[in-house]
Amino acid sequence: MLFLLASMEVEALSVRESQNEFLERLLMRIASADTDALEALYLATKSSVYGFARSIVKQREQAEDVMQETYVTIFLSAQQYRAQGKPMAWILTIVRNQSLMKLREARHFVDDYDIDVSQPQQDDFTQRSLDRMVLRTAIAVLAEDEWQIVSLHSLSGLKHREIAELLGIPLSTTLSKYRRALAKLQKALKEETIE
Amino acid sequence: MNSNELLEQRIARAVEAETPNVWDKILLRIEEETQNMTQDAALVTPLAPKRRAVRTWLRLASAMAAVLVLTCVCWGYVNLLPESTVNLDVNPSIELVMNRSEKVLSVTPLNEDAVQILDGMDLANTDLNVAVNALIGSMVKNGYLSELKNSILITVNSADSAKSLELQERLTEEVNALLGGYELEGAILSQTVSEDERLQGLASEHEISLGKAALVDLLVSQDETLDFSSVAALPINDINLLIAAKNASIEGIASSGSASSASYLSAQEIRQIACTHAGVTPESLTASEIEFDYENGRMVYETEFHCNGFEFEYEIDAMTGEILRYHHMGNRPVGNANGNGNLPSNQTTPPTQTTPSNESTSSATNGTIGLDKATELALAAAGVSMDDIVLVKQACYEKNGISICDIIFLSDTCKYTYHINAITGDVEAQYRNERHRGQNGHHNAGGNGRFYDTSSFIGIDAALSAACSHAGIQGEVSRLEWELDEDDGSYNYELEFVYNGMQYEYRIDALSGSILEWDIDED
Repeated sequence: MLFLLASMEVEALSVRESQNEFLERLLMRIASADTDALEALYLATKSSVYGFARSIVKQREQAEDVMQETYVTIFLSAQQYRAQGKPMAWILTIVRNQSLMKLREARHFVDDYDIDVSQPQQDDFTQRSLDRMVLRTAIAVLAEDEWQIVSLHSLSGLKHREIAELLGIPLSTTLSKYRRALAKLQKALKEETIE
Repeated sequence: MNSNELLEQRIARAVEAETPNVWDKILLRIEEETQNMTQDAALVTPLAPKRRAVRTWLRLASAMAAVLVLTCVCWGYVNLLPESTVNLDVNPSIELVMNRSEKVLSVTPLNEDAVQILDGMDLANTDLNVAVNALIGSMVKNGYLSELKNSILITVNSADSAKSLELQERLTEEVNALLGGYELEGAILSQTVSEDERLQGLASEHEISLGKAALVDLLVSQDETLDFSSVAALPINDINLLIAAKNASIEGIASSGSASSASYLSAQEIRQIACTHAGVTPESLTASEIEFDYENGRMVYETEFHCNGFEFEYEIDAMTGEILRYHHMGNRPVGNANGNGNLPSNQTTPPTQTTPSNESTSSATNGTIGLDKATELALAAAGVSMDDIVLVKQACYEKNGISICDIIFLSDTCKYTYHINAITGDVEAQYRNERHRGQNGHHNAGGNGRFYDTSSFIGIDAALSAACSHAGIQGEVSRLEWELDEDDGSYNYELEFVYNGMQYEYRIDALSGSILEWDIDED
């Protein structure tokens, strides 16, 4: 029921409202302990949160834990958010902190993603399998920081300046790693001969 | 959309598909946290404010501090307050902020190429002309400015409009002189801009300077075929070439010199490539046009020429000379490489992709496998038989010089789309979307909301018969292509075929068989 209400909430928004304005409105409501607003925020951002968390902690189960902790933290800390037009950067900073805490708890760094790396079936030619192939290739060939930058740019809509600030690296480094990462990925995909 | 954007889309979709739903767990955690907070609430005693003792010497120190602050503010007003901004755009994009004395306060690279140009140079506190000198020198040294690409865009932004204009003219002269020192003839575009929220938004979105955003905005507003994102990614030299090619109005932008096209093939070379492919000589052309354009992420030449009653159109990569698209039109004899009449005088073998034929529609023509064979291959690849499916589309087209057959059909559960190479029979691309029942009980093809309740449609044979009857055709037609299309809730057959040297196009209501639109033209 809450899921349906939250979905209706999302659909009822003005089409002219930008994503940032929408998220900031939700955060203001979450500051008043509005769980419907939190659910709407969750639906709008969960892929970005999950994708970024997984790029740090690698393991699916740990990324799920980080997702939960992130939204609980957002609920408890929403009143501290200052509307400056960067809600996504604020949310992803929480994700980063939670992910690093998760890694420290685990007391070891995981090198490998627990992603299904099997080749797609011969007759499985849907768009989904192509998307998975691109994702699998990106994780396999990109360095950890390259993958973080590309996934942030793909999923969360952050600009390079915001990504640089989030990751604590210079803008010029972000730009050069991003371009190098995409060139690497294009090359690897050509070698796999996808359509 | 460029290939990087497509990659990012795929990554986003893949992650979205594997993102788990943990909302219930989140809600449970919040309830637990809320209960814990209620149980563990602590009292907070506000600290009593401290009493402050005010002494005479403190008052004096405060007064002196105020004077010092005022002095610093005045000094800061002159020396630290930004007064003007200058953008230099080549492909590196650099922003310089100056104070009232034209001392550089900051230099910011706006893209990766600019990072290379700056290469650790510390230009803060230098005079503007010194900084510009260093930056132009670095651009020449790193090959961004050369005989092959000689264009630069200078944009000035200052609250003082008179000062902006003066600075714009002065910088143009200085940069011109600097380039002359490197024996380069520069093509300099210069402008003043004021703060504009819409343009600033575009600039931020595309990671370019405000000045370049203004230039791109001006160009795309005059040509619907150009889109902002694609042009914003081009170097200034290519944008400058497009401005000249399209005769675009650049009101408000001063321009000196001509953009270099030396990195691209010449118009003459392009004409020769097109003529060789068409089997004609440049001397035999009766009319021709050629111009630069930007298509699908690259600079291209578009050329059109006439020869002996034929019209030829080509789109050719301006750098490599690769033929991207071509189209030949005109009357030709049937299926005979050495035919009489309207063949160009020096052509012996017409290009196979465009030679018309009166052979049966579906069988192989001019080395292509034909629609029947393409359909057979598509069905085999999908593992279905003709009895299990409803055909929706059979059509051929050319893409990048390759003939492709589009075959679309529906089974009870899926919509299949195949792109078959018309020469080799290879499957170039294939898609399968699941169909699911909508609220009306009919099957919908996944993703686009279409539904095909084909049991009440007249069928392609009846549609063709209606078209031939309307056109007064009694014989067999050739090169039939058709598609079942949906337009605002109603379903129509769209047919194209050739008969007796004429090309016919029909749109026929799929339920009633009535003719909705038709056209006849010379093939």
